[in-house]
Amino acid sequence: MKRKVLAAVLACAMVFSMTACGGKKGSEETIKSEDVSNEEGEQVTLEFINGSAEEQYVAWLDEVIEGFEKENPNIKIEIQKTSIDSFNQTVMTRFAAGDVPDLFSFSANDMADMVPSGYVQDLSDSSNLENYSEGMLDSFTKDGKVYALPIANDFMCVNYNKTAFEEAGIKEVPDTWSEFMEACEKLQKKGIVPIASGFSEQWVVNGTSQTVYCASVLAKDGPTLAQMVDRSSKFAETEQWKDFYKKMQEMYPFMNEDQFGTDQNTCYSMLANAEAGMILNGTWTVTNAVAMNPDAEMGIFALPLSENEEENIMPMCPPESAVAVAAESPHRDEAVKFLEYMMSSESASLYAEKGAGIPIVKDVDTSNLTGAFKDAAEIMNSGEVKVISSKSFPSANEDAFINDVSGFFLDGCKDIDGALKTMDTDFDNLVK
Amino acid sequence: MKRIKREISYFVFLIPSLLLFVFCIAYPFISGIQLAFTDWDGISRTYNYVGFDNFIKLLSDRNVVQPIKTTVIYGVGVTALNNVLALFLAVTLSKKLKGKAFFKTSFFVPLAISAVLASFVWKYIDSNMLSALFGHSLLGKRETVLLGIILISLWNNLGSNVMIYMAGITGISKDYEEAAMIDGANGRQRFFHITVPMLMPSFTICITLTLTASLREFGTVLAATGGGPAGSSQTVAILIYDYMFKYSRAGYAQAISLVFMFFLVIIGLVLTKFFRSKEVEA
Repeated sequence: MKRKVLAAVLACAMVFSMTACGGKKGSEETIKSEDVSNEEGEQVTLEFINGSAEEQYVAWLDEVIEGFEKENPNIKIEIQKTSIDSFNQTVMTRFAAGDVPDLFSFSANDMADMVPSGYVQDLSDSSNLENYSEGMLDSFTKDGKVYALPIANDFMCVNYNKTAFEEAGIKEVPDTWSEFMEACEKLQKKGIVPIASGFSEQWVVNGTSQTVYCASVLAKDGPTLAQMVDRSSKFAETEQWKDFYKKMQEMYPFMNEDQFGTDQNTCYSMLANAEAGMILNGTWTVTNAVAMNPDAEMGIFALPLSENEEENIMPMCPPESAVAVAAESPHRDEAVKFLEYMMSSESASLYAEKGAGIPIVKDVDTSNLTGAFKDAAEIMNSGEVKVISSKSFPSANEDAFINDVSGFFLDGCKDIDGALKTMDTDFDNLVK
Repeated sequence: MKRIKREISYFVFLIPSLLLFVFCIAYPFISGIQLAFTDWDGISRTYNYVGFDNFIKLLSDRNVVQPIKTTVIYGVGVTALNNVLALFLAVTLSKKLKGKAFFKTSFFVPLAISAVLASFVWKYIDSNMLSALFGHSLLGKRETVLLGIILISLWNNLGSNVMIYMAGITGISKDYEEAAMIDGANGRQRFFHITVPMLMPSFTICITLTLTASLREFGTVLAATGGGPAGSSQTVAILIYDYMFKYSRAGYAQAISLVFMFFLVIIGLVLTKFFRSKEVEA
């Protein structure tokens, strides 16, 4: 009997110790989210959920935080790293649960969900707004209010290896479509893969497609993507979309074999080591390739889809990613202060120097840039840029689009009319 | 009175795991059911009740056809291959064999590797070695992608079934085998008339668990292909995930997952009942 009582007591003790553990954890969390500001008067810790894991970006961010903390000894910034795949999930769960971070990476896609929910702080009064050129904040503006500040802009272009081009005897960057095709042939003859495509990752299918449709549809006064989504325009009836598929078809023979069994990291390394000549994707390709081989000489140019040189200028959307402040943050003012510091011209200069990307804040010193960053800076300075409407479909349409383009490639890029028709049917089905 | 006291003390031991189960599984599950009747987008704090709309929409959703096909092919394929192979290996390893411990361990080790890691390793093997062997990577083609994922899953999960079958075989008394040998039964006869019927309890566990687990497959597919190429390896679990987190249609995702769970429970029950009825008393 005694033993049984003892057993019962032990079992109860086990349960209690479990609940005790749980309780303690809970209270620790509350302390963290309310911070120590009440106790010491001014010490504030800001939590920043950062969705970008790119090495150069992180290095830049660390340096920015160091500088900011030196200027503001009472504020500490704590970075929460989240991989890009689980980023939306993490942020969404945190907001839905009321456990909000102070600052968070913000994408233009989040405008539709998060702004009406009242989660995002209005930044319209910030003096930083003057640092941006006309139109560059459009993607983060709703009803005249600005909700997030970007540091840089990525755009879709041809990322190429200058060494590979030299080896193949291509002296000048192609300015027209026939020159581009000629360059592809020269590369192939030299045994260099002209266009490396890591389609085993779906975002790469999308990235390459975006590079082509930014130039063939959006920069050529075609319908906006929103018009495709709401079905006021049809793929099959749009000359520019037909051209999109035609250009894909013509490039297909110059891509690596087994694109859907190749991942993009392999392609980055091919490009960096001059085993491949080009990757059609965003400007981040350059950063990733240089990370594989720091000696790689990279460059960028606008995909020349037209035979008319003057039409082939770099298409560019307002930026997609930025940083926002949570409206419900208990330290909103401090968070805004950090954001303004992070997006200042000085931080932007540092951003370019670190090779993290192409800053869009004004008054950036671009004199010590090299390679692709220099190409980009020259494009920016020359003003030969065509501002286009958003290059991203909503995610349900995007997935359908990726599947259809993948299907087109898997079938050997033969049936353009069929591909256009499939796209129309799939998009029709998505209209609720 | 004494008996009641004793029984109560038995139940006390259940309390910790019961509490865990109720608060970590049962409560969240039951409180989530209602979401299937809402238009919740997965993030906002308010939502509207829409009755059975989500379920009606599901009936006419063209997007679910391909994932259902994929899931069934994958589930049945994995279950069949996994169990046949596991049984074969278990029977072989139960015989006197040199280096038995080594083989046992090597079949079991991959089980310690997560589905995501296994997929990454195999993705690398696939695009660098298998593609050289077959002229094309398995995961990069619509026709072979499922085969590739089944391979990964087999390599990753075979060990547990091998172990269960081996334990079952060890549990069969040698007397039956010897008696049959005296009666002149050959190896094949002994296998089908002694080993298989006596192993029925192991079949119940292995087949039911493998099938329900592979029908729910998520991690391996997501890590290996993300549902591609061209959506050809998208399983129902991935479809649910897409609706939930990518397309912001949590209410609809919950409706699909409820229907899906209903079918899984039915399949599990039917299979268990079928195999239980075949079990023989030793």
